[in-house]
Amino acid sequence: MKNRLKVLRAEANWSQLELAMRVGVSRQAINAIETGKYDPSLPLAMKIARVFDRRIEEVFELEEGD
Amino acid sequence: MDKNKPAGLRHLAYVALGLLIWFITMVVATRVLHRHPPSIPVRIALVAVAVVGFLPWLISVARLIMAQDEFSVRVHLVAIAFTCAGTAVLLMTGGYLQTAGLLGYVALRNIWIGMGILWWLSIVIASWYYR
Repeated sequence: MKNRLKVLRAEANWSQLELAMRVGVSRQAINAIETGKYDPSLPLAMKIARVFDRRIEEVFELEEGD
Repeated sequence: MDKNKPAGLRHLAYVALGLLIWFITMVVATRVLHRHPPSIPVRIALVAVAVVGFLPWLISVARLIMAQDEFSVRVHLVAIAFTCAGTAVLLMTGGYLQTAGLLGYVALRNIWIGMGILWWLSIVIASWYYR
């Protein structure tokens, strides 16, 4: 699954730690999501989209083969 | 995340308490069992004390893991899966080496010592993979 987390985070001028604190996970979790090594659960994906004030499909996108 | 700090400390306190209970029951049971008490019910009771004394620590560690965020839980679950697979491979290797006459008697307690080392290694490797 692709995501625009890094771009949105840069636009908001937030560090990984700041985003992590806003959604209640560890910084390592945000890093793993950004690098595509970990796909978040639906509730976490929705929380992330909510803190950016975006719809979930504006943040996360299915890739072919997903 | 700040509101989770007291809960995290509470879980750590349970782990420490579990460790203390494990240590005390292990020392008591091992010392008495080494004296070879003649009564079989006493020996069974001592084994039960040692095993039951281990459970609080095990449960507290499981609760500590489950109290973390979903990503940390994933890392731990992957590490536990690696540990189980690694232990199976070690046991199989040890068994074949004994059959081949290349390995002598190995105490059963060494299995869980090996499992503990594998668990720690697996956490390091899983954390590194997801870094």
